[in-house]
Amino acid sequence: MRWTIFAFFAYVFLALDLGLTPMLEIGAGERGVAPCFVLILMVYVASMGPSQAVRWAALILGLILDLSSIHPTTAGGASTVAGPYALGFVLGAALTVQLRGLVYRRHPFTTGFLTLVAGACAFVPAVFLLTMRRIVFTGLNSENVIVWVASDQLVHAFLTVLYSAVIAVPTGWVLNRFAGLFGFQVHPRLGHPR
Amino acid sequence: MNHATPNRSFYAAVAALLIACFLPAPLTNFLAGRVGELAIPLSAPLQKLSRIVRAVPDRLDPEDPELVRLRTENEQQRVRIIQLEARAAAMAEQLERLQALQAIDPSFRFITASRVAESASGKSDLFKVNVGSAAGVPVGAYALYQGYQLVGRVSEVSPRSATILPVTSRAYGAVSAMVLPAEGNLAGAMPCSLDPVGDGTFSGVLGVESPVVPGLRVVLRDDDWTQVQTGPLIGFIERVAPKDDAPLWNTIVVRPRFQLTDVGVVDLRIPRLSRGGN
Repeated sequence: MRWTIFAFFAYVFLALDLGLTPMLEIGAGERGVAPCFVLILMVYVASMGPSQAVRWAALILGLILDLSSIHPTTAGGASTVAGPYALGFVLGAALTVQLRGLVYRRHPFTTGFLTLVAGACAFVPAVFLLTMRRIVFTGLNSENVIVWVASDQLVHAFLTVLYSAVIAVPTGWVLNRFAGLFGFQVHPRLGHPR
Repeated sequence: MNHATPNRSFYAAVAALLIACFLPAPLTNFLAGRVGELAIPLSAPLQKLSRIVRAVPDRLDPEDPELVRLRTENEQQRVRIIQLEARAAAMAEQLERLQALQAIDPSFRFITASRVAESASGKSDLFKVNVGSAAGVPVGAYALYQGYQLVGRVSEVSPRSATILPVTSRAYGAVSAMVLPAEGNLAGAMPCSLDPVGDGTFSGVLGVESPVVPGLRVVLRDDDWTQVQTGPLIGFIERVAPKDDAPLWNTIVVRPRFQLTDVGVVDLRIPRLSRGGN
């Protein structure tokens, strides 16, 4: 896998996440749901790239998502937490690596399907870790307690993954055009990595 | 399936991230800020594009109370802008007129004054305007309408107001005037004296040899207007008739261009030296 190309796409997909949300968001405010482009990229890379590189790529993409997520705190401030999505993405990528041999990877719907499965696998641990953090910091009576309701976040995460899966179909098709640029070697007939 | 064994550094990174999940926010907020800044060059135009696309009118509910409120507010603002534009146009016109007047006669300045009160008795043509000696208005200053029509003179002045005695009032007395010939040149001007009749017109007499016809302009003849070619307009000759008891004279009736009792704004002509109510 070419890391420079990966870095470029990571940058573009992060910008898509940060920039296209107002346009693609369904609902408004806290209830608004928007697709997660970084998740789609993670799933795509995990479905095509070498396993060793995929782990690091997922960790980096998750960390990027962590650092671009802002959680309000009960003290009226804002807080960024590094780790939850990074670790969740690592798990999601591991699941994708397990599943990719069972699917025809170059089909556009594959990216959508894998986004649904891997997204759920990635977001549930992230919600769990952030919930644990809230519990720990509440116990410490710290001002860093984030405003976080686990049930609401799980529903929101599920809707986000669902929306991302839908968006992943056209996005996956586009990304497949750049498979060669990424340095992914795909079997011409089966669509599997060589 | 390819299952490479993660190396130690990867495990170390995972462990570090697990710990980072429980670190106080200030330690990670700094890093988060840098990541956000990096993405801005690309995300900002996308945001702009998103908001443009999102603002498509057919996505809005026309019955939305907020939208209805905003539309009403917008309409009110538009009306207000139109009113302000009209007011600005009127003020610009007034300014141009004043500038033109001052260009003709630089020894005088002009102050625009609004009519603010009538005579309390109701039997007088006198009216008050909203500038007075504080603005340098002296007794005797001429009041003009539209920059050329003589309205009257200031008969009384207080710091904040001035009383105008209309030229059409009989209390004004005889007005020294000149009838301008049709060509409008001063050389053929015919001096005369006009008396206010009391109905808004003037009457005067001129010799039968004077070539006066209805429609000729009659202007003020006053040494005070030395810097200008002609004095302000008194009116136009409305009628010319032989004088009953003097066959060598004609009686002329002059009517102002405007109904002076309806004038709402006047320009007061003030000598440049007269300032600060002294």
